[in-house]
Amino acid sequence: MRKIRIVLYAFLACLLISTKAYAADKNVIIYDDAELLSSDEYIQLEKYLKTLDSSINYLVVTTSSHDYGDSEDEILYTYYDESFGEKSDGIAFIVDMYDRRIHLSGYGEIQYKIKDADSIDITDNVYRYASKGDYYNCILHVFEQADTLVHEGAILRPMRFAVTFLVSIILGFLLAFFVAIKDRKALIKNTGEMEMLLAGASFVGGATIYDSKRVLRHESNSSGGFSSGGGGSFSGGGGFSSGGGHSGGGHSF
Amino acid sequence: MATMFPCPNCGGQLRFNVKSTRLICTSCGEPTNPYTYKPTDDINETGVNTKIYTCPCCAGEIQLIDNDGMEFCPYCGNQATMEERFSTAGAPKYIMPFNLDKEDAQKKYIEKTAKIHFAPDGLKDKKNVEKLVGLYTPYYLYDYSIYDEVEYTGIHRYDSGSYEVTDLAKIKVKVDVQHLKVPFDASETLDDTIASELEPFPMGDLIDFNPNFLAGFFVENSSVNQDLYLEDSSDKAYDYVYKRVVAKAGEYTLKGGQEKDIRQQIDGKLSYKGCEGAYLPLYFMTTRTNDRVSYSIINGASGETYIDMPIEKKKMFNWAVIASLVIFVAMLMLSFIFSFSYDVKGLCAFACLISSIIAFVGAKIANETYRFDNHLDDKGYYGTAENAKKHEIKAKKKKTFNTENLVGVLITIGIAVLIFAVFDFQFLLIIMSFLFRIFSLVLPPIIYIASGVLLVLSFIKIGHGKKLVTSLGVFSAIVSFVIHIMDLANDIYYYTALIVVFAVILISINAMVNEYNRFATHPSPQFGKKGGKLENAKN
Repeated sequence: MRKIRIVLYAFLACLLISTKAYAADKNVIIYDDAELLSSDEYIQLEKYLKTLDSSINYLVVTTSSHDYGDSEDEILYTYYDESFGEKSDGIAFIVDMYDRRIHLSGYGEIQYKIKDADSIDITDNVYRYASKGDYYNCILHVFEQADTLVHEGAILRPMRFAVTFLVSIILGFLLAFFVAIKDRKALIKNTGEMEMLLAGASFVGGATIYDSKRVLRHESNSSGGFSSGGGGSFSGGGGFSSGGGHSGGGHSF
Repeated sequence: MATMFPCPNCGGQLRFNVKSTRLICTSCGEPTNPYTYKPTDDINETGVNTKIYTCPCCAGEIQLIDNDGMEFCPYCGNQATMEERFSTAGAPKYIMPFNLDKEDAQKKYIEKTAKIHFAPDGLKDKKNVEKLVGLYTPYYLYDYSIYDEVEYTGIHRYDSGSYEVTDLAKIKVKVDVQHLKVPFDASETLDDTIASELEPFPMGDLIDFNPNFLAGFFVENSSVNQDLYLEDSSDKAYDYVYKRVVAKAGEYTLKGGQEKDIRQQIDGKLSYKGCEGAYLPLYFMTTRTNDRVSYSIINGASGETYIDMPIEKKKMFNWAVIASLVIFVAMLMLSFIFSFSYDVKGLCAFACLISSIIAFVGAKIANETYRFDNHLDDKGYYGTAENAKKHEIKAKKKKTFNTENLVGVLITIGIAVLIFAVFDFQFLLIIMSFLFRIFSLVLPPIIYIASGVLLVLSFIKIGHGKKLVTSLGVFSAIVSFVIHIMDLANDIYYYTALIVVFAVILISINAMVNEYNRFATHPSPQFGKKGGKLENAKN
């Protein structure tokens, strides 16, 4: 179902791209459908993206409709696949004015350099620009930070640190309490039945079989015990092919 | 005052020595056989004429058998001078001598508490441990007999060659029990819940009452009526006989509906023969914490222990700070290794779940504390069956929830994932990424439902217990949920609200420790004081 939907969106995107040409360079494309960038900003952004790694594709989309997907991830995928092909290496970013969300995705090999968590951290860092309506700086900072990660650099992740700190405090205090309770539970014996004094007591029992039934057992397991042929390991080509799929993460603003 | 147990050699004072099971003279050291020795006329097999010490604070009464005096009250821990009066009391039929001497009991206590985290310094203090006193506690032994033949059907399935064989058998058990003695503590001061933790006593060590075994120990007289535990003892005796009868089936299991049938056969045949008193040995230590007391009691015959151990908050919070730092570093490293980050809304779900767990645990502890403080599971406190019935006091039935299986399953899943990870690191990354997505999408609704269930259970569980911890937990759970559904664009609002929620959670944890410390201590007892008992004790 999802594939059919994606094909449908891709078809619609073909129509769109054929009618509205925004293409700038072979590895940089900006679709400002929501008209969030001024012409100066558009030119400067394009210029900046061209200065980045020429072996990577850069896609910027601003939109105010959900004609090409239900989520930012789907919309971005539709655009990217149509523009560059989903297996090519690239970074794509969308500002969705319909849901007021921003979303960053990595395609091809880039998905292993910009992972889901990285996308969340980057959009966490820049969503305030979008909230203030400063879309140019929002997009610029996204690609600056994405480029840093692609080239093995480090970015600030204040939100991740802050949240980890808060969660750690709660877990640390709860852990201390449960350590205290666990220790103290060991002090209390799980009482069995009380011992009683039995004097002059005897319990004498005997069993007399009065009915016996014999039923032929099911041979549930055939001899051999394991299936033949094939071998245990996965054959080449199985599992996850390189280049397919993408990473992604976003934030509302 | 002349001793009740004069040494036949020098006239000095004899004391019972647990290790040698002899009476040893404190002056000349001469051992004397307790089974043949005759003390003074004040004490014999039929009665004990001695001093009773009454605590001016709690009115608890202790009988001193040739002791030097009491330095503190074993019930309330008070060091006020005990008031003396003379008493003549009847002797019980049986006595179980101490198997552990004071040194053994101290070792047992230290061994049990050595590895306890956040124990108050006072409770582990050597001077405090030396306060353990040997106390003979009154018990009632309810005597039952049964002579009957019980018949039931057993079933046994086994494999024979290619066949599964099912044997049905008539099992006949001849039951001939002349004396089945069911013990219940006959002390108003010893809570029934605590008494049950100290069982079993090795009933085979019970001997006919011999006053010589009391030399040097303290004694408490029975203060409850014999009819108090009559019904409970009958139930226990009945269950005991039933289990013995069923055990005779050997490899046969009961056929459906047989349990009821067996119980009907036993019912009516079990006859009550009477009740006899017995002195059973306990070591007692009481420590005061403000207006409450904590008890440490050791079974002087078997070594079973009951220890109230409050939490030293300062120690616990220092430990918690270090644990938080370690968790912080570990989580941060894991977030980079497995590439996961946090959705602030997921954090709301986390806060809601933690809050509801606190509400539930707090409710459980508060309810237990209320029940303990008000003796709702302690029939002995009410003295008579009529009184206990009037207050609707029933014998407590233990319920256990085994979380170990659940933990086992989770650990197994974790190990399986790790084994895969060793072979394929990228696979592990994909698994973690998948779990993270599941966590962000599917888990929050599940967490909110689970939290809702826990909150409802908290309200059911809390009963009349103090509601502070549960109220705080409910408050922070609701706030977390509301923040989540408000769908605010700016994270700063989420974080501000969550910091408030997390602060409330920390306050709840502190309140939960306070509640636990109430649970691990008891109101200072006020036996028989006018306007006393619980209402006179501060909480």
